[in-house]
Amino acid sequence: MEKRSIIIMLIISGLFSGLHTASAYIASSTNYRLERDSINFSGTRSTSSNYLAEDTLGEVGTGRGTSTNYRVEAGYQQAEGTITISAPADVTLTPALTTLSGGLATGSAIWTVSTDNPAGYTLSIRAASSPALQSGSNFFANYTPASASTPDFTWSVVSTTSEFGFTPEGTDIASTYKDDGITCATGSSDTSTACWDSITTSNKITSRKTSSAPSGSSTTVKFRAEAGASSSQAAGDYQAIITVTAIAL
Amino acid sequence: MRSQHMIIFRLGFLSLALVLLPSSIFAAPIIMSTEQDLGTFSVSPSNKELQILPGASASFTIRVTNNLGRDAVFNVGMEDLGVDVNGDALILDGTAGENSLQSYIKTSLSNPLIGNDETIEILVSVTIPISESSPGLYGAITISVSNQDITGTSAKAVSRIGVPILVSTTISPIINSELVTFDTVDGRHLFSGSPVALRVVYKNNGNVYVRPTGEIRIMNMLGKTQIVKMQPWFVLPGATRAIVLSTEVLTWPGRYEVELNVNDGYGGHVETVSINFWILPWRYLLVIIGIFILAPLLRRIWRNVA
Repeated sequence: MEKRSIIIMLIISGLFSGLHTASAYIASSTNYRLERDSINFSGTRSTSSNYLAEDTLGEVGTGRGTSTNYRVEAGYQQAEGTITISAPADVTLTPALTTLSGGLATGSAIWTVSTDNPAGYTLSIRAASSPALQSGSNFFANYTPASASTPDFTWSVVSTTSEFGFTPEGTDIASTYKDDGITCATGSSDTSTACWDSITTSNKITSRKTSSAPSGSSTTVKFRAEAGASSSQAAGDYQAIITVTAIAL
Repeated sequence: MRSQHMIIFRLGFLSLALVLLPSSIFAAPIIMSTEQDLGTFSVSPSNKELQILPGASASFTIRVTNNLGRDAVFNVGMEDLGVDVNGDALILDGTAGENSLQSYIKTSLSNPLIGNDETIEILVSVTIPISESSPGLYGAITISVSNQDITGTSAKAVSRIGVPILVSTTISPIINSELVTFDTVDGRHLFSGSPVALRVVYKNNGNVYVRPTGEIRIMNMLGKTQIVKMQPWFVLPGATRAIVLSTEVLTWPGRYEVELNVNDGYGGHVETVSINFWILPWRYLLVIIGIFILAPLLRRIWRNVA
């Protein structure tokens, strides 16, 4: 009898356990799905010829609550959509470059974006200046791919120049930075340290997700600065200010 | 004995109540975050659409939450919005857009100091001058944060969120949009499992943004239908844009008829297009192949026995 009772309760619990994890709505029939509801004392959708507004009054316990494990947006009007981006540390390019023999310095940073926007998000990159990597009046030129519209599959800088560029990596990188193992902007592969491009003062889309990303989606941006052996690059602490922007539309 | 049963039932009901409780308390969407969300900041809403006639104003609030693990000064800016070759919105950063909104936006704060784990509200007001003739204006509020300066050759990382603002300035816009394609994401029509990802490509030929909405009906061979709701999304004028939607788990193997119904979000004509695909899990295929192999063998054995 005891065993049977336990088994029955476990079965019932098991049957119901999927309810709150699987549903993105709180009520439904064959004709509708109710995304959200509210217990309150007032609220309406107001319109005039000049504006449109929705308000809800009298809800208890509204607003955002966060901890290290969860984030709750409580309240009927909270469901407007949220976008979150990580803020990685600045990237020191290593090893330090010597001016006599030139060299290659690298570094990377990861940006993670999460959003409940049904159409996903785009992540773009731009530099605050042109060329991007500068030290006073000295600079590394922006990386120049062989074809202006297509990133280089292999990083290549001639010995007489110094250049600075980037490549994005991740599951949602833009098709421009995908490859077929030989060429970029074709195929569906994401070959490691391939598809190098310049960072200009115009935004370039590095990642594109066309569905919501509630649990986050990461893009690793790898940077390279190379001083050619014959470039006579002046000594200095060079810095690029790189802005990575997430948009959910 | 009776009290033991009561304890078991009470424990059972308690566990049932605990299991059911979260779905009844949290009517609003819950966004679960993981450890990687440490060192982040969030902005809500993620985008905003407004209808403001020339000469009028509207305002709304943007909430910014700092989870960077430190107090930080954020930078609030205004930019215009453009469209890239894939139809996605792009912040133009200092360049005036074709339908510029930047100069009409004002914010209550420009460099707010936000404490760790704190949320602030920024009031955004948009005023459209009476002389404005463009039917749609597109801009964005940008919220960014920088790190402390470091030395050495480096890339200083600035993380930024753009909140697109789409303004319709007319009550009679020219709506002209169309469904371009509807198919599975990779064009395959045979899958060994589910969910199946579906891509909708939509084009806006009109003079204001559209927000296509609709639903996808997925019907199995027994006639049982699953509905995937397509929430409104945005396509700016002149843009062709894609969205990917996913079916839920499709338990039955066999052929699925998939019908998309989409409209422009302004109550315009509904476009309907159908595709189909097959779900044939490998274990079912193995069973079918096994039957084909074993059936003659069993038949022979049966005959010998008979």
